[in-house]
Amino acid sequence: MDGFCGYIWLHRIRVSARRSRLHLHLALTVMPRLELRVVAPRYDLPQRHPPMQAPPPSGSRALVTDAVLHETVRRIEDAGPLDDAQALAQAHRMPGGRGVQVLARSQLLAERLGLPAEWARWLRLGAAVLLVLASLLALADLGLARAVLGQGRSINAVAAFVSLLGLHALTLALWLLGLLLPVGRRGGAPLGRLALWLSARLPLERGPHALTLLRALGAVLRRHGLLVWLTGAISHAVWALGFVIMGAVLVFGFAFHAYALTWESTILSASFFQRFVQITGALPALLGFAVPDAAAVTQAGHAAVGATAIAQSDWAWWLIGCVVAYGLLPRVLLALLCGWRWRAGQARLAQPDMADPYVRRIVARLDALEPPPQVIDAEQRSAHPTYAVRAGPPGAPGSLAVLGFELPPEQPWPLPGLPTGVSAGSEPPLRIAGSAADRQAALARLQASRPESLLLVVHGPSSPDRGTARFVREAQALCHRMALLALGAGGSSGAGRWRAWLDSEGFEAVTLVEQAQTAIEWIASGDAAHHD
Amino acid sequence: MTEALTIAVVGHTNAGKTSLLRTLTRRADFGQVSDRPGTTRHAEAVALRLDGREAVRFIDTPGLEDSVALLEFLARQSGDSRPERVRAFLAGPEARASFEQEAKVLRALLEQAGCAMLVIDTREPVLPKHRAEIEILASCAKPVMPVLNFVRDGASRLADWHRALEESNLHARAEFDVVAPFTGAEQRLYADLATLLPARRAQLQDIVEALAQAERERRLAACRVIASTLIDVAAQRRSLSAEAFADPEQQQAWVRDFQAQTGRHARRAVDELLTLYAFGADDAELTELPLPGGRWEDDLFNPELLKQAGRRLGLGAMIGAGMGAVADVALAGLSLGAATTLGATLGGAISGGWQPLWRKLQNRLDGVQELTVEDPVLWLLAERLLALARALAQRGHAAQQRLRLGAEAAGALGDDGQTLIDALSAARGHPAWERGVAGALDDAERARLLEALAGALRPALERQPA
Repeated sequence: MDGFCGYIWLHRIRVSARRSRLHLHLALTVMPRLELRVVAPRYDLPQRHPPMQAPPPSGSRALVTDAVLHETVRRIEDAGPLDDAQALAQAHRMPGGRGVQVLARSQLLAERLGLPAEWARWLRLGAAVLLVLASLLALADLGLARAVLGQGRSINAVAAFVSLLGLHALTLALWLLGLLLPVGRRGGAPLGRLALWLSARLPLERGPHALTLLRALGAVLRRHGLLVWLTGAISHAVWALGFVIMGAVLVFGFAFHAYALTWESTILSASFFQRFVQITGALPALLGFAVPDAAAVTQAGHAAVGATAIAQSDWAWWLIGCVVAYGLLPRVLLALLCGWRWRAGQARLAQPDMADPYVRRIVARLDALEPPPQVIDAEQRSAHPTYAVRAGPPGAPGSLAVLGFELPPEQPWPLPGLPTGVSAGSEPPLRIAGSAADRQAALARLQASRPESLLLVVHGPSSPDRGTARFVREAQALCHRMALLALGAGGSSGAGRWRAWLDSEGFEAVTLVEQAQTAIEWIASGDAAHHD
Repeated sequence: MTEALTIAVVGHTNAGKTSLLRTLTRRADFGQVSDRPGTTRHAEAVALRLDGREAVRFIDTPGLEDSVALLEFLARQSGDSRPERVRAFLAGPEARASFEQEAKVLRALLEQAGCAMLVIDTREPVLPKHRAEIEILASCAKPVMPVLNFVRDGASRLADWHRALEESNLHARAEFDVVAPFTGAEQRLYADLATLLPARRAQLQDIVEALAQAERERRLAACRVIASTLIDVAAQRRSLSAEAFADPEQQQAWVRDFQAQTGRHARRAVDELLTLYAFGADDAELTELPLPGGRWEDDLFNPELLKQAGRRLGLGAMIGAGMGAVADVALAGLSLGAATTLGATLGGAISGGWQPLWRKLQNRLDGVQELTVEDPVLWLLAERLLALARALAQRGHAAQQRLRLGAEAAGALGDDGQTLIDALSAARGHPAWERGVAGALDDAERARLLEALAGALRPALERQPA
């Protein structure tokens, strides 16, 4: 029995020191109670809830399951996308934002791949393993307590203190160290890795995705910093259970057996033991445990002399008090702390990592399922009025009008090098900014002068519009022939745009010129026609 | 959740209304954009969706083209107030004839929208027709937010427009280049809109926050895409038996295959970045991109570029023979004798078991050659992908010209390049980290390196190109 217990203790040290992987394994075993909520038919009636409302509280218990299944599907899709058209469409109908929809899609795909069943099987397996492990550890604690009490009727009190709490103190220190040092979390523990490897390969109707599921769980918990809290909660809970058993055995032993608690030493003085008991007893004393006084300590050192029963009971309560105050209490508190952190941290799993390129791809595909832009006021092309465009009556032969229309203010006027038209000598050629009054005035002037040729100068880079068309149409009726000089329409695209516009508006008769030189030639061509 | 805000996007013809909406809704496929006047002739509703919810409903409208005549016509309508006169006009026959397009604009603004965004091409001179447009819009008694477009163009007449808007009593305004928006311009646009719509302030604030959040997520995702690809390429490792290696033809084919695989990794990253920024690879406007054509991937092994990258890496002329891939023939079969690679192999051996080292020794004994990618290739790849991500982040969804990435790609890494390449040496000892090969393994170590690299890339991506 002792040999077996020794193995268990040794095993336990390694478990705690290299906690991360193996505890991950332990973690899974608790999850049936904490998390298991496999494939409730949550997606059957998505339309019941009004849109724009948070999804029904799916229970924080399912968060880990959802996150792990999502990560598993993600990893499976690393090798190539799954056929998800139906799942995507179904997820798209879920209310609650893209994050929820991405998780829903993963859930639906996971169901098709049989992952929830695999996950449930895995949790059951883990539960069994944890049960075995916890019983082994409880057995070890039982053995330890019995070993302390079973050495005959005389117990070395200080040695018992060390053997009951030493291992615990060591593992606790290692755990705290691992918590403080980020390097400690890397934990490439071969033992833990082996345990994971074995769990994934246990020959129990294992599915094809068992290993992926396992890796996904590890990745999810690590990414959200939950691994350390989950493993901590389990580890401390198991230790606390051990201390409860240990305390019970001690109480039972001290209650029904008469032990002589002593100390002995070759090199240490009685005052050392007095101080030791005083210091270690301080905390149990606060909790109401009796602590042997200095005289009792000195007396216990001379074990041969019969100690009083009162002093012996103080010794026993001191030992039990130390186990409670330094063993049970810290472990329970740490287990509660870890459990609380684990619970609180699960909220982070509710939303997938939206900055994950994989998630962004799915979001983009969900976005593509949205209804396309919708025409709300359609064009009624037939309603467009068609005007009969006619050239006006001939003006005086050779007469010319130059008119600037909606030109930028910095444009020099009259245009250098261009004939100024009919108003030469009397007043400069007209240039209008395009207000209604301007237009009326310009048309009135054309009406009065009736030029044979009208050169309308416009700003080439601007877009022609129907306001311009209206003016061209009205001006065209007041002259015999008309040219449009698109200033600065440089390049074929600018001029082509004006030409195309002239044609589409029915101004095929209007000549388009791009430069002053061409405009002069156009004017001259009119003169030439008259001289012929 | 309150009802989505409806905004009518109005403006003169060709001012860039549809372009603005493409950029704001990140839909390169919305509507029709061209420099022909009057491209949009109907009113069309498009949603800005944030996290799947419709946050803003935009109405794209035709241009207000004949504003001078319309203003006169409106003045002749009966009614006591200006909105009443607009309603009278809409009920009349000309709303379906001469002023059909204008009627669509006014109908959308008056009956559906909560406010208007007036898109202005600031290259245009301020003319009476523009003033008439503003006056007509004001007649609808809805808040109007002028959005000044093309403000960075050399021909922009920003000061004139500022004055004109103030004269028309429009004191709020936003500057927004629809083709090349400023960083954060979109958020500022909605924030400015809140000054006009105090009742919707909280809603607009939510939009601003959601947009900022989405931008952060996109940026981080882009860094991860780049980092993951760099790990793939750094981990790339192929073996060739001694006999095959001795045959020059087989050896060449082997190197070509290797380079093609690197090109595929680069290609995948480019595709992912395009998807991330909502530019489709098959997007008609992007087919002219030099990227998907494969030129980029070839460039990764361009001898001259490799030499330059090697020089910047401080490798001198020693490396950069133009192959870009190194046969693993050096001392004791450990990678190419470079200390970093040796360290990586040992590091890999320690963290990942002794398998890699053992495999190497075995290969050495059997005369098997292994090929890995040179550092300058990683440098070039990182630089290019970073430059692409940066360009895509800056690019409006209305941009129609080619995305040119040439000179500005060089130096995209800045001073972080060396650190990045050093960090990547950890991947060299892990051939299983290359995605897409048999036995690929995305383990905790890879995830850690990925996050570290992504974190290192982030400042470089956020930095504005000089």
